[in-house]
Amino acid sequence: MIILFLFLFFLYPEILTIYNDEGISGDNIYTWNDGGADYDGSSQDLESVPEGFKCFKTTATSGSYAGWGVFYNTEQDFSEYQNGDLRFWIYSSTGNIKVEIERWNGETVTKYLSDYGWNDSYVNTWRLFSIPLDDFAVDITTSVKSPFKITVLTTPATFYIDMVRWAVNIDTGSFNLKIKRISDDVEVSSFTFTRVNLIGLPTGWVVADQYIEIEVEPSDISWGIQIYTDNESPSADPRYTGTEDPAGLVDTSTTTKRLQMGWTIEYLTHSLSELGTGEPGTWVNGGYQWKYFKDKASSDFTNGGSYVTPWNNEGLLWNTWQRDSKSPPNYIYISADFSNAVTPRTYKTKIFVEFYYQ
Amino acid sequence: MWIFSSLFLYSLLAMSVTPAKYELLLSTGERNTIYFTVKNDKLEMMKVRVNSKYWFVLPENKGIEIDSWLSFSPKEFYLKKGEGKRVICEVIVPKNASGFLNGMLSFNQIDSPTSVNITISVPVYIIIKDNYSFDFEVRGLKRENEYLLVEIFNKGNVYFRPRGRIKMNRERNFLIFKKKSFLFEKRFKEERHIFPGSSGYVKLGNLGLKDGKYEVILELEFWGDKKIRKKIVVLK
Repeated sequence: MIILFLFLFFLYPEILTIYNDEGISGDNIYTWNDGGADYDGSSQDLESVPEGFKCFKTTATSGSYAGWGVFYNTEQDFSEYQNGDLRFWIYSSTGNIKVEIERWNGETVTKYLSDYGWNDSYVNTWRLFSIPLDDFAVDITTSVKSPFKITVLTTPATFYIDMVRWAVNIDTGSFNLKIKRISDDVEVSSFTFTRVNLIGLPTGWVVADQYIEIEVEPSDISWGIQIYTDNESPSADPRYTGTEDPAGLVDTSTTTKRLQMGWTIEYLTHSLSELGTGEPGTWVNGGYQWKYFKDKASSDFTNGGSYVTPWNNEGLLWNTWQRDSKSPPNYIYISADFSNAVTPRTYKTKIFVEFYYQ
Repeated sequence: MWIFSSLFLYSLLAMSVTPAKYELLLSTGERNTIYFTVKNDKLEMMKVRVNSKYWFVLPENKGIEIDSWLSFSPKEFYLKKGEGKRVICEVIVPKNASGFLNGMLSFNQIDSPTSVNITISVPVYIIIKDNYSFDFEVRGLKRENEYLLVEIFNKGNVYFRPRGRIKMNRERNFLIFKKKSFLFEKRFKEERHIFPGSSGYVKLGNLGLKDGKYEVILELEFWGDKKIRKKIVVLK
């Protein structure tokens, strides 16, 4: 079993986000052109962007080229990304574009979008490009000055870039999930509410001892992750048979009873004290607002509805209706209301975490 | 201790599905075959179950069972690490279908008895060639973070992603006549869909428009179908 866990640990995907709504991973953004060009690193010109609300806009009005890149002030060893890909989204009026990586010694290795499937149908449409880092050079990751440079080779032209990253061990279209213990971030195999035992009954809202770590690598720009229970499903075990909203933990011996549950999604991991009680409406200290769990049979459940979608292409649901774009991985914490719990009893449910495209 | 899951062998759950969606234009009674590929990215072995489910259902299509227009095979299978499996989907458009049909094919990892169920759902949209109605209206203008948003309401019976052209004129009233002055014209292509009966937005750049009365002329395209709608709106 130990071998298995170590094995999984090494396989876990790694994503180095180079540019997104949060900013850049490097120290500087440099631009270049030999004519007229405008740059906007926080452009909101387009209603639909692959991640968050902003993207990087380059408008080349004259001359023969214009571009930009992300640079580090010190030499970077990113060898853990060897065998990975450089991935980015582009929306461009032309495919006459080169993509480069610069080594610390100044050597630049170049690839062209035309070699990676660009065709006329891509014009002014968001497209995901994934270029194997090995295609640049086998050892390109070991001594990096710029992990991403992009230059348009014709004018006039306008292109937008979003969600630039190096990724390894995660395919495009992938959805990965792990359950970890809050106390030490170790991977575990079940959710528990041991604090209920410590506090003793009756108690109120209590945060679970574990959280879910989620990583997603979408291959389309309109997507979401929704979370819910499905306690009235014929295959639910136990199946809720009461008359209230079925969302939550179901009493295995009296299936007409259930305990309400809550959730929050966070971009940082938190201690139990930071997480507070977990009662919906309250806030995580230094984080977001707790929300109620919904069931697929809840009267106000809608597939793809904002309240049941912790994370989508616009970002994380930080209160009950607004989103904030954050890089993966992100973390879902869970709570339950033990005010009406009795002992000795077992309360169970299955949590559905569904990654969907629209 | 309250435990709400059983033990399971893997805490890591991971898979991928491609492509991300299908959008087909078909006549009633017409058949088509599409394919999705699901891949086990990480685990030594994974068991996958495939289900179909409704996503958005038009009121007039409420009696149409999803199984009557979307069937697939295989429904359950194992995948070794790195292995991909092609799921074949047959689409048959029911005679009584209106507007569009929208279902999801859900790929569910089922072999780990975990308290978390991981699912990837990919949509299938069938636009009914015979009777879809692509229609919309311009509802208004609003400013958001200095950007101008044009609200579009879908009043047809089919979803659409707003793609087309917008032209705006400023309209001013003088003593005995109205004066219209051209402001700008631009093309746009949005990816997010607008379902029937709901609104979506087209975002325009920072135009620095003053409060006033404007004429919005919006031309949208949908599968080669073009429609133009005009509206005088007041920006406050």
